[in-house]
Amino acid sequence: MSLFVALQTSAQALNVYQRALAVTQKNVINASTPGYARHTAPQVALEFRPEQGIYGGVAAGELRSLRDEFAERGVRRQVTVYGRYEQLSAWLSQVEGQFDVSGQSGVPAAINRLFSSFSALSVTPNDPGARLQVMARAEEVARHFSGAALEMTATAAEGRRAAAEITAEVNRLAGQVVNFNRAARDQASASGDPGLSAQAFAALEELSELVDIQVLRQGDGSFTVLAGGQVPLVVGDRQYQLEADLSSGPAVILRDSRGDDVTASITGGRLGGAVAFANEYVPGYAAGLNELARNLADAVNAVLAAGVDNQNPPQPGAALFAYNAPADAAYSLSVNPLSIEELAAALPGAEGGNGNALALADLGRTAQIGSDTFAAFYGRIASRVGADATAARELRISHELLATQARNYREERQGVSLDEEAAQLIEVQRAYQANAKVFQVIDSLTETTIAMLR
Amino acid sequence: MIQGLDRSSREFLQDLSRLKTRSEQAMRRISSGYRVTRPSDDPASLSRIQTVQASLERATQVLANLNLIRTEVNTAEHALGQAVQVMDRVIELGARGATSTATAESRAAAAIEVEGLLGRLVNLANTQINGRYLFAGDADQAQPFALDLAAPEGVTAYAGAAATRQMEDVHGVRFSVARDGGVIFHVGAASAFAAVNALRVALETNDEAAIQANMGALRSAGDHLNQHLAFYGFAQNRVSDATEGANQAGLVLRETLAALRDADIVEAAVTLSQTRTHEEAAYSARARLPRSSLFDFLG
Repeated sequence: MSLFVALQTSAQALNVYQRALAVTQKNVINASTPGYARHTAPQVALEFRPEQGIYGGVAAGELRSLRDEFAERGVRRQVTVYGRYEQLSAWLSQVEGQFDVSGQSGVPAAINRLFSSFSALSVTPNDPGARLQVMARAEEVARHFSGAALEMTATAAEGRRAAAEITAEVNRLAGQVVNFNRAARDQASASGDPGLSAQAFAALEELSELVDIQVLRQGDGSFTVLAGGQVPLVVGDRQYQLEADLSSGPAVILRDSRGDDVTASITGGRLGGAVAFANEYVPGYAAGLNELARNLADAVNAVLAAGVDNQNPPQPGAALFAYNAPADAAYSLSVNPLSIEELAAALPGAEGGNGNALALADLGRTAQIGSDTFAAFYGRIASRVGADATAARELRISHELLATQARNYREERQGVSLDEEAAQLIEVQRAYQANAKVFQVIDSLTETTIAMLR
Repeated sequence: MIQGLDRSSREFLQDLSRLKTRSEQAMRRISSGYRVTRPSDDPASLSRIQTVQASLERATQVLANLNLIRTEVNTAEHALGQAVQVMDRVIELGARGATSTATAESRAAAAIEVEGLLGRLVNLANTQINGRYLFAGDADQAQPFALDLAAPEGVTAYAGAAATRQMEDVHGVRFSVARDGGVIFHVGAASAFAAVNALRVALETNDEAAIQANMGALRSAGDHLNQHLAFYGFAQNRVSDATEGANQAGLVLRETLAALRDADIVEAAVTLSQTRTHEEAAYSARARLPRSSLFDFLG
């Protein structure tokens, strides 16, 4: 082996170590960068057969990413479920606040006070004060139902707006993935670039929290992203916009880039949660309130119709409550403009009596909606809200843990350990120093040889 | 969800979040005094809580109704008691007037007193409470009787109505608490007004035979008033029983509601204390975690 060949081999080795140092530096810098996976720079021993004049050395192997696609999929899957229940949990906790559980305020208290006023009317059915009290309590019931329905409508509207904002965010992140795909297509090495790759995977993870996505890696390194397993968001360098259509009534309709309704396909992530909240949960609670308002109004009006009022001559009882349509009963509930004499507290044939006032008061303690009293039915609606909120919260917590586990697993597989990198740095540093020493010795020998020739 | 955190930080934040949730719940229970302050605190018991609360409201209203009606029943009973005394005095005057020793002058004097007693009887039949006539039946805004000495019965025709009103106890059982003045004072052979007025006329005209003939009607009217007095006595008992029932029901309902809804303050305070200790320990432990890596020791 000539001294010059040895010198060249040492110089080559120094280059390899420099590259290893650069990779370590990249790992350390990106230790907490979202989406980054640890990279290694393997060293390959070259063939060493001195008898044939092959003196070996070391060469840099191909830069290798430790990214584990299976671990990435696992994280995305858990984050998607977490996103749905995080969204639902946040919104349902808002709705919860609209339901009084003490029975001392809001709709249930107003209903209780209405029946108490009927009961008081039964003691003094001809007393103007008792009649005025009934009218005031009826107004209070109507006001509370309208207020509750209005709050529900406002919450649903906020849920719809949130769905639209999340959709815009989905499109923005899909745009980032498209940019990566374009870079990968334009330049083959880009798909293996640790920095670009980290950005793309971070965007995919963020995207998976917003919507359930299926990610397919293509041969050229680009990503194909499908929402709900079938709605294309990204294919190669093309992005397909998702749209939240809020113009078709109270429900949110998700449309793909062709304008087709894909709402049923997208159930996961924050978007799935927001859509479910606006399209299923809130309408369900609102329907319960409407049913309660309608049954209350109908029951009171029916009893009043069976009685006679306090006019001279007595007239059949007039309806106290009115509403526009059964599906809008809570919001549109109102009190008819009756004079206090028109309240039918008596039964026909017993004018001036309290037979009908007692029947009105009894509505409050007897089953009126199926086997439920009005109070129990309200409790059932609140119970449903509470059960949904509890379920969402518990699922959020459990999937947050599962997502954490999935991330921990991914970190074990591909994360950067500063201690490992430091050890690697020391190792490379020592190898570099040793090789530099060898280089120095050979250089000295070369100088000696040259001096001999002089 | 934050990306880019290391495993330890992620788990630390999650644990802190759980502690915070428990701490907030305990604080909410202590400050409100309730275990259930929002639907998700105990969804299964909400329907029951609302039902019990509604029943409690109803029991409270029934109690208020009974207190009001007790005053009416007591007043009516007192008025009837006085009416019975008036009748006793009228019968006494009638008995004196019916004797052969009574003179025209003494009968005329008795007639004047009987006329006054008739007026008193009419006043008692027109007893009011809070502007309502107790013996006017369902037409309690109208004065049931007015003195009219020219009328055969000494009063105008009964201007009230039948008493159909009933009270409900806390269980919804109904019972009557009033009778109308027409039935009490003014019905057929037992009409107190007719008997008293007939005596007055007989005394005025010094008609001994008529006085004697009217004594039976007077006694019959007195008995009749006594019967109604007994009814009001029974009504008083019924109202007392119903009041006691409503009080007991209210007590049971309050206890039930407390068991369903109220917080165990001691437990909440212990939980709050524990979570605070855990939180402080967690912060302390986290602060003591080595922040160095091998890099810190490189020369």
